[in-house]
Amino acid sequence: MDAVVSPQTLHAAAKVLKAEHFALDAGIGVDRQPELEVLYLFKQFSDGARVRLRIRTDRELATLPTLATTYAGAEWYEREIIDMFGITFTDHPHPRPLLLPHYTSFHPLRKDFHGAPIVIPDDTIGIPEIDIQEALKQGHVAGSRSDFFLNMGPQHPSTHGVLRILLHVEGETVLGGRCHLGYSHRGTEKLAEKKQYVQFLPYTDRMDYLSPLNYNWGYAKILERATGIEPTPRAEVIRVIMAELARVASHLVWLGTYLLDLGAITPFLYTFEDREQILTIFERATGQRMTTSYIVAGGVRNDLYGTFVTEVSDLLKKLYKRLPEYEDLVMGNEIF
Amino acid sequence: MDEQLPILNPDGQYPDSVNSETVPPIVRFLPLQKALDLARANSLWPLTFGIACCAIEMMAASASRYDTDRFGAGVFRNSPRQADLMIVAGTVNLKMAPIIKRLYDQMPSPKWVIALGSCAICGGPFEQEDNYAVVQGVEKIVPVDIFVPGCPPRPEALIHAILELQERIKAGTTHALEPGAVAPVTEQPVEFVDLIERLKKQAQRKSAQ
Ligand code: SF4
Repeated sequence: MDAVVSPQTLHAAAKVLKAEHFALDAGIGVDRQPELEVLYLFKQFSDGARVRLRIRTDRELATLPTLATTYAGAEWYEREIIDMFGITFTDHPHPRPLLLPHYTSFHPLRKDFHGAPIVIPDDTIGIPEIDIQEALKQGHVAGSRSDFFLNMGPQHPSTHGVLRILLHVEGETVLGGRCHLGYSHRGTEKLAEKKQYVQFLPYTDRMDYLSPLNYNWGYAKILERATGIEPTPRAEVIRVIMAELARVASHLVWLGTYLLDLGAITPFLYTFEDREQILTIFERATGQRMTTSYIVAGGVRNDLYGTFVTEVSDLLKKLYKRLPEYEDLVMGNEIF
Repeated sequence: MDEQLPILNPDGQYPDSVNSETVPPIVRFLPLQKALDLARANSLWPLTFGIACCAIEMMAASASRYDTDRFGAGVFRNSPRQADLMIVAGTVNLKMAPIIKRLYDQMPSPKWVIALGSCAICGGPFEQEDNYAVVQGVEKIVPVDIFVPGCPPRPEALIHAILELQERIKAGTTHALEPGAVAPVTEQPVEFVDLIERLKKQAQRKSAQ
């Protein structure tokens, strides 16, 4: 179901959906020139019913009621829309940028925005003043004097990537935390606006670089649905095999690094060696270890090489034997 | 003893132009410096720090098949205060840039930087006209010793970069060697040329004038 609601009726509509056990799936901004639109997607998990609510605002005014009072999960989606479209949400609990730095004043995903010069501020302080104030406010609400705030990330060994969390801790107990994102935001959506559909494919590799083939596939699927192209059965089979291998490779990275965080260094060396074997197959089949761009709309970019089947079945046999070994290595380890 | 190599000032800085004939140094640090350089080159401690895709190849380089430990560069440190090599592996964006600068400043001198991947060199695939988020090259924030092209570069490429860096450290030709070095901020976008070569040329021009 797709419905355009007015700002006044949004809350009533959201309450009805909530009573029907609909979950908020996503909140998306759209620039419908001249109007701005916010799209909320809802999904009912019991029978998969989907509802789309659209709510529109004038470009100059750009003010809408927030959904975060009914669906708490809408908070981040709306913060992203604040960043990208410059829409103000009245009564939003934390109306501050999510992905962009706090000092920027542009709204990239409006269609009349065409890039901004990169200006790096002089101060190299990791925590902007605004965060400290926010933290202090929270702290005084908590009232205890022995609690304090700890900045974790974005360079932290256990965040794996560039997540930053402002932790509210008391001794060793974490009372709360606030996530700060955007340290890896690359503006891919904006770049996509000016690209042809095929040109955008390589960017999908770089969205999930641990299993790029799965992202290639997702993107190819969208194009196929939109254009009505049917991939050949052989291509479908190749896709499944390659995507499954990519999934296994991705899980191997997870296993190795997760145990690394827990203090076990050896499993990392084992899982990465297994991953290398999968990457070798990828390299032979696609020409690249990681950024494959292999699955394209309509099929795959090139056919598999001659010894692919024997190599993969050999590898799988080996990996099956590895699994109990991994379990032994970790669970059967005295010091673990 | 090689008279051509510059000698440290008492304040720990290399003088702009060294003329050992007119200014005989009172204390020669050269033999000690060489020994230190040799030790440092063979025990690089990189900072554990991945930003995007290239970081996975950096991890692969340190894992069992490629094993940068063989070259003494496998002790990844989590704290910048224990590291002397920063491998910028990934896309540097607007929000990340001040933090990278800060991490670099927190590393004790002497310290070196490898820019791994096209993103760290020039913005890579994100160098587009509509770009608003990606810093077009980490060289605008910190001085870079070695650039490794690729998207992502293979682990072998990183190993090559480390070996090359070791050679330069031993030869004393890295430009970020001075203790207490402060990162110069380049104003202009830098083309993909070797910084060391450029610095050498600059020095030649200076001496020719
Ligand atoms: S150079 Fe390529 S692989 Fe490396 S971080 Fe950039 S996009 Fe990812």
